[in-house]
Amino acid sequence: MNYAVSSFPGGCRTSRAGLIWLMVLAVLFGLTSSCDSTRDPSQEQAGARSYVEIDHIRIPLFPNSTEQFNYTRSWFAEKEKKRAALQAFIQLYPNQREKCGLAALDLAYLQLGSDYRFASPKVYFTALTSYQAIVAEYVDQPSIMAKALWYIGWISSDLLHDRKRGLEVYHKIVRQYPREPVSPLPPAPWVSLIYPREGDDGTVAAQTEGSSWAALALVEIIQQSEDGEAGWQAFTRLWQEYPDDIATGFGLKVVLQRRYHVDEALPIADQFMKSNWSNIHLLADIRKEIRAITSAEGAK
Amino acid sequence: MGFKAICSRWIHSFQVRVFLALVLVIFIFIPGTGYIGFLQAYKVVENQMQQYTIGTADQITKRVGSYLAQHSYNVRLIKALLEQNMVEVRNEKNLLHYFKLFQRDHPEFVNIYYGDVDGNFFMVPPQRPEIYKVFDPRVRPWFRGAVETGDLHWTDVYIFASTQKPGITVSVPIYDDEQLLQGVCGIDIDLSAFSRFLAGIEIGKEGFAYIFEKEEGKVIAHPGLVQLPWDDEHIALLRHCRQALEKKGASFGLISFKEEEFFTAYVEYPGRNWTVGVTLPFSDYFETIQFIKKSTFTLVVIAVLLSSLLSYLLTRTVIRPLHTLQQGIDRISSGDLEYKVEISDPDVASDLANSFNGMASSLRNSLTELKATYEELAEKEKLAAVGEMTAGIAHEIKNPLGVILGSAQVVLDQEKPWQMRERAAKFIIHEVERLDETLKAFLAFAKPASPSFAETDVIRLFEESLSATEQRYEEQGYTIEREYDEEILPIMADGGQLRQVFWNICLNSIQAMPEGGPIRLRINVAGGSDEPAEDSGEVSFAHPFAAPRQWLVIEISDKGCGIPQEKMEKVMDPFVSLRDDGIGLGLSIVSQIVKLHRGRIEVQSKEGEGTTFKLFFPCIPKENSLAD
Repeated sequence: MNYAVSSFPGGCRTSRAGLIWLMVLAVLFGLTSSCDSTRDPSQEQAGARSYVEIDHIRIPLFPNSTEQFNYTRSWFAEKEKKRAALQAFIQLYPNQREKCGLAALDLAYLQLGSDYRFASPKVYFTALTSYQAIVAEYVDQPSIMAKALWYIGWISSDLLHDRKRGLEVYHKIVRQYPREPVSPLPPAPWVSLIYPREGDDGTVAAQTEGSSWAALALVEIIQQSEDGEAGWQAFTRLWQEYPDDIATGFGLKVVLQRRYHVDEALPIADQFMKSNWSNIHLLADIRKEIRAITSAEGAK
Repeated sequence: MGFKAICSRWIHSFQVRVFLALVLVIFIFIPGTGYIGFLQAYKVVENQMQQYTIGTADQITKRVGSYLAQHSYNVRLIKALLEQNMVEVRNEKNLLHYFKLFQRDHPEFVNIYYGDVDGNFFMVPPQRPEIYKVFDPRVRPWFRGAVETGDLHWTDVYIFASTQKPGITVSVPIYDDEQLLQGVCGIDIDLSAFSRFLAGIEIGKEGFAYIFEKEEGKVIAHPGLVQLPWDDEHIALLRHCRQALEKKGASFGLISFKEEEFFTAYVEYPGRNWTVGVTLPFSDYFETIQFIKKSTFTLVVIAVLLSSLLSYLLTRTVIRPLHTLQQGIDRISSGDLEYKVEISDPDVASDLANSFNGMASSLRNSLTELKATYEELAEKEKLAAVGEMTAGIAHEIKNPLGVILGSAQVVLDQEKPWQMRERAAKFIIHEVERLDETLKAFLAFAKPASPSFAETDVIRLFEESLSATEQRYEEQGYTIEREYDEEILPIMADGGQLRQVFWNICLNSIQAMPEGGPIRLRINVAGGSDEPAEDSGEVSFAHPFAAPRQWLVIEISDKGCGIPQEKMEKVMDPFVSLRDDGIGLGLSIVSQIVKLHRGRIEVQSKEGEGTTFKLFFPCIPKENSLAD
């Protein structure tokens, strides 16, 4: 019964020690591998996008023009990045004329700074130049042309106080783009995310829905014209051609305030108030003006 | 030794059994403990996750409250400034200046504005001109809400006219001294700005918070709305979580979404119809759980390996002294009483070795004393035997001498006839020859030759002896029946003496069956001390100091006349013979030789049925040779 002793002769001690060391190493390996909870940075990079650089600003590339354009509508902490995003779109998708035009319009508007009311004439001229360039560039895009022209008229008359120039441009809009609808900005692309139900895209629509650049131009002509006859002419056209336009009520209000062709204006006002109930406050203003006119006439 | 035998020996080994028992306990106990520990840790992590997500949602609710309170507070501040004429409402430049100051201090205020009852509107930053030209603040939800409530008003989500982006507005009505409505001022919270605020709150590695309108599920704020490209997956996940928890009717749960799992907790936002949600991917904490799992597994493996190693070393440590003791017992059993067990281990094993050595020493002393006593006794027995033998010899010699004397007188008497004198001379020769044999036998008994031990194959020895004479005996009616075990160990013996033993007993069997009959020869190995049981009818003649644990047993049986019961005790004594012409020294010599080989003899006999002689020879390892 000596086998139990003799089966582990002294000569095996080295191999036993080796076995123990092997176990210890295996244990250490197991511990180190179990402690290795750090992530492989290359894996995090795997989903990274490609970029295009505009003025040393990196703009991510998207799979199609719609997504690339949507990106320009997102929030940017720096104006420069938004500018770069718009420029990138124009560079990447030059054949998307309408979207490029919208991007160019946004770029031109950026020229006015954060608050155009407190900007310098130099800024206004710069912006004006940009809008003029758009007019030259996007002749084939009437929606872009109408908007660019309207902005030229607005900068000229409201910011640079060049009424004559402004009126010329507004008349041009009325002549050349009588039916171009106002689409001030495309809706923010994430609106559809916020409203989960189909067709539910916000309870309160944009204010300018249902208006046209020509109607807006006519209202501006009414306001800017020093000649009452010219203003009245603009209004009659507004009333005849755009009776349901949201701008028509504002035009009527100005006409009544300025007492243009009162005899003709009052019946139009009555007609307007009977047919248009979209803005009760505007109706109240018009009613107030009618009352003022009638009381003044009575006094006479 | 075959593989089976080795396996069997291993399995029945005490050390292996103890080791396997310990390993079995280790393999059940340690992994079981590890698994229970892992489950508990997992449960703890899950509970922590629940507490963490709900706690985070609570914290976010508070922070959202603070965030919105800033807007409420500032819109009330503007109201106070305007109502107390600290800022002139009708002075557009002055009003815009103050709004700009507010926005500079609070960049999170997307739009600050004031709209009056006449439809004038002043806002920082400015509206786009095409909107401003036809903008009537009085129709906007923030204006109408403030007028209707007459106090602070929060709108639902709607699209801002200026930016066409969704948001909410906090507004407050402005009254003059006569409590007539002058206008409404408001501050916009763009949902992307609100979402930026939420995105700024760090929740785990990939967790995110969001707010949605409870009834319709409109997303009020979500990190995915901060900047394009947003992650549709997040919004889809939000809606999935909402549906899953609504279905469960719970405010916390582990939700599966696209083969991933997410912890989600919902908390009601007080005062508004909002729900604040926090969703954390399970994978964030999966690493922790994986770490626990790996650590537990590693520790279990370590524990099992180390415990197995320790068990092995422990069993070896415990068993080794026992093996050493066993070796010592073997050596002492084989007659090496000088052998000393050496165990260096401390404590019990060392004490055991010391006790064992003490026992061996005591045994040695006892044996020495016993030997002395035995020698003394043998001397006395020898003297007694000498007397007995002298009487026997005298008896054995006296009768032939009388015959020789009478026959010699007949030979010398010349008057007797020649034939008679010749027969007398033959008697003299016969008796002299018989005397010679008697003396030879006596000498063999009185002064036996010292055995010359050598490794002896007993079967071969016997077969060689039988080969010369077996045929002759078969002709006389005797048959030799052999029965040998397969594994017969060689023994240390004197071959010549063993042959003598064999023939002495065989001749007795032959003489017991004068008409012939079977003689059965059986050789096998027996273990342990086969002491004859009491009342077994056996008579044992053993060497007093021989007690090996394995014996070679030579069994010779006949079916002869047997030995009378009264003579069984003296059958090995000298000069005791059952035959009239026997000297009675054959079995005495057999007994003597067997004793010289440290063996023993057992005799079983029944009168008229037969006799069996069992000779036990110790199977002693070669290194423990008796020659030493």
